[in-house]
Formats: sequence, structure tokens, C-alpha cells
Amino acid sequence: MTSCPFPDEHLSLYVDDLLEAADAAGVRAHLATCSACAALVEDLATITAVARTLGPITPPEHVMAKVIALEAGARFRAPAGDARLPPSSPAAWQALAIAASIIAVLSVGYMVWRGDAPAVPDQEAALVPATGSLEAAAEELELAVRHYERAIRELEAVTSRADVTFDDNVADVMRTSLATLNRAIAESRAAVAEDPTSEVARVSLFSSLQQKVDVLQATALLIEDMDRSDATGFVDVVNTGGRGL
Amino acid sequence: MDLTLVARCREGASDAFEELYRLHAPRLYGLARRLVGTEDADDLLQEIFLTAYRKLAQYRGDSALATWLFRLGTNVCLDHLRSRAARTNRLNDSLDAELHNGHRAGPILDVITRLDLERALETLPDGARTVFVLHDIEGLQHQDVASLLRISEGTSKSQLHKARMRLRQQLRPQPHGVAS
Repeated sequence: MTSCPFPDEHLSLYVDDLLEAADAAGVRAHLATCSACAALVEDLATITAVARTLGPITPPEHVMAKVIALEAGARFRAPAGDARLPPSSPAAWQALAIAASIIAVLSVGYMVWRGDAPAVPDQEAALVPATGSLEAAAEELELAVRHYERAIRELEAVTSRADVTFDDNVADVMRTSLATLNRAIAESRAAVAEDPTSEVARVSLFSSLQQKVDVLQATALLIEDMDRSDATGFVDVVNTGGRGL
Repeated sequence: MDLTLVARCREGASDAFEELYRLHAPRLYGLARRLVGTEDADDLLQEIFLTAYRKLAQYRGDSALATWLFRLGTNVCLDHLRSRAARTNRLNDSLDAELHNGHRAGPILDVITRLDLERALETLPDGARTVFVLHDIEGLQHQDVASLLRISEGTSKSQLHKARMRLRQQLRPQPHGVAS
């Protein structure tokens, strides 16, 4: 380009119609005599024309369910430094223990396979509603529960539509964890209905719902990746108990 | 309508936030995927909407909701890129001078598809790719690109041109006729 009177960048500005009239006229005159610059302008115009046609991209379905669940969680404010509150029933304890290990194995195992670090939601902070009165708190909880249940329905639709066969071990683990979580959710709901003032019952319900979302989310991600590639490595990680578990 | 939807979201109407998501997620997901890559795009989209939820009270209707969300989403993606650059110690994510293939008689690109361009885009360094995405795909002017990226307009124009030249190299047909 050493024989041309201006730098290449001028040609990009010309394509974008950002040159002053006199400069643009100079470029046009040059293009009429320089095939190399004319070719470059044509290619730059091709690239920008195709770029303008790149539009929105529909995200995977499981992302919406997660977003809805996150929004439900964000309705509750977690004060800093609060101690962990115990679950409200033995089943809930068992659910938390099993679900925590299941989620950890699935999530960490999945992330180890993918090479990512897991982002584990904080299940341990005390949760208080954003507003002060008991009625408002009950309303907010019910609203959050409805959001979670919608997220769960969306995720179940994604995970049940797939024609993927999991390793028997993984399938058993998933079935057990979901059954345990469903029991914990039912028990927590009953506890909240019996005593709407019980902070422990509300926390237990909220925690169980979030964990169910997490398990389904991990399943949906696994299915998505199994559709794209071989997930043998992931199953091996689950069978060997994940990293450090 | 934007203010109504935002108000409904803040009140907790059960379908309002989902409506907000369905209306705006595709554009924001396209932005996230092209800026940060496929692997991180899902997480970034979640983060964008969670950030939007937290900041809904700040939306006053001065601009279209789509515009407000776009700027918010862009900032979330840029923060992610800066954080990623800091973790990988990547100091130079812009393009230096590209070879100018100026000796051929005619254009070197055959017909290129959108998929060709999306793939070629992934090969650009973060800085150059960001300028290209914001200017050529999203249609921002250099003044706005410069403001978002905290660079000069001159740098924005320069990086854009270099990005285009790199893409031109990536998209040139192979000897058997397939774009690289």
C-alpha cells in the first residue's frame, strides 16, 4: 500500500461514510485507478453488510428458568453474618445433606469436566423478607414460591423432553435427590402453613426449592452438553464422587 | 409501556419478569455471546437479568427500556472481560498492524455467511472484537463505543479497522474454496 496516498484506515472510514466530502472525493478518485484499494473497500463493505444482519440469538430454555429462580431469590434480603438456621424436620435435614452432596457432585463434577469453577449459591444465610409486616412477608414468600415453581416447571419440561439415557448410577442419584427434595418441600410447606411466623420453616422451604432448581439446572446443562459431545468424562467424575467429595 | 412493565416487575407480578426476559433476552444473549464467547454467555445472561432486577428502581423512562438494558448488559459483559483479562494476565488485547493484502487484483472474499462471520469473530482478541460487535453489529457510533470502553474515538476507529482487516484474513477462501 506504499504507493497509495492514504492509510488503509481511511478506507474503513470511507466505507462508514465518516470522511469529509473532499477526502471522500479523493478516495473515490483513487479507487477508480487502484484495484487493490478497490478490492479492499469491497471486502470491508461485505464484512460490514453481513455484520449488520447478525441479530438476536435465542438463549437456551434452562437459562430463563434459572433467571426466574434468581429473581425469586433476590426478593429476600440476606443479612450479613447471620448464623445458619437448622432445617425444620428430619426429612429436611436429610434432604439438605443429600441434596447438597448431589448438587455438589453434579455441579462440581460437571464443572470439573468443563474446566470451570462452580458457583454455589449461599444456602446458609438467614433469609428475611424485604418488607416488615408478617402479611407482607407471607405474600412475598408465596410470590417467591410461585416463581420457583414456575422455574421448576420450565426446567422439568427441558429435562423430561430429552431422549438422553444417563448412566444408571447418575440416574439413581438424580431420582433419589429429587424425591428427597420433593419430600422436603412438602414438609416445609406444611410447616409454613401450620406456623406462618416460623422463620425456620420459611428458610427450609426456600432452601429446598432453590436446591431443586439447582439440581434440575445441572441436569439440563448436562443434557445440553451430552447432545453436543461425549459426556463420558462427566459420568466418570460422578461415579468417582467428584472433586474432593 | 416500558414503565408499566417495569412497575409490574417491581410489584412482583408473576408474569412480568418473564415477559421482560422474553422481550429482551435474545438481543442481550446475542450481545453476551459475541462479546464473551459461548461458554460464558449463559452465566452472563443470568447476571445481566439479575443486575437489571436489582436496578429496576433506577429506570425512569428517559430512554427506551431496550436501550437501558443494552447499556446495562454491555457493562456487565465488559466487567467480565476486564476481570477475565486480569485473571489471565492478558495485557494486550488489541490488534497491532495487520498485513495489508493489497497486491491482488480483486476482492479476496467470496460470499460469506453469517455463520462464517460469527466463527471468525471468535478469533479476534477481546478489545478488537468488542469494538467490532458494538459498532458493526450493534450499530453504535464511535463516540458511544469510546465512551463505553473508556477509549478515544481515534482508538475506536483504529481498532475497528484492524478488526475488519483481521476478519478479512480469517474469511479469505482456502485454496479449495472454503473460508478459513
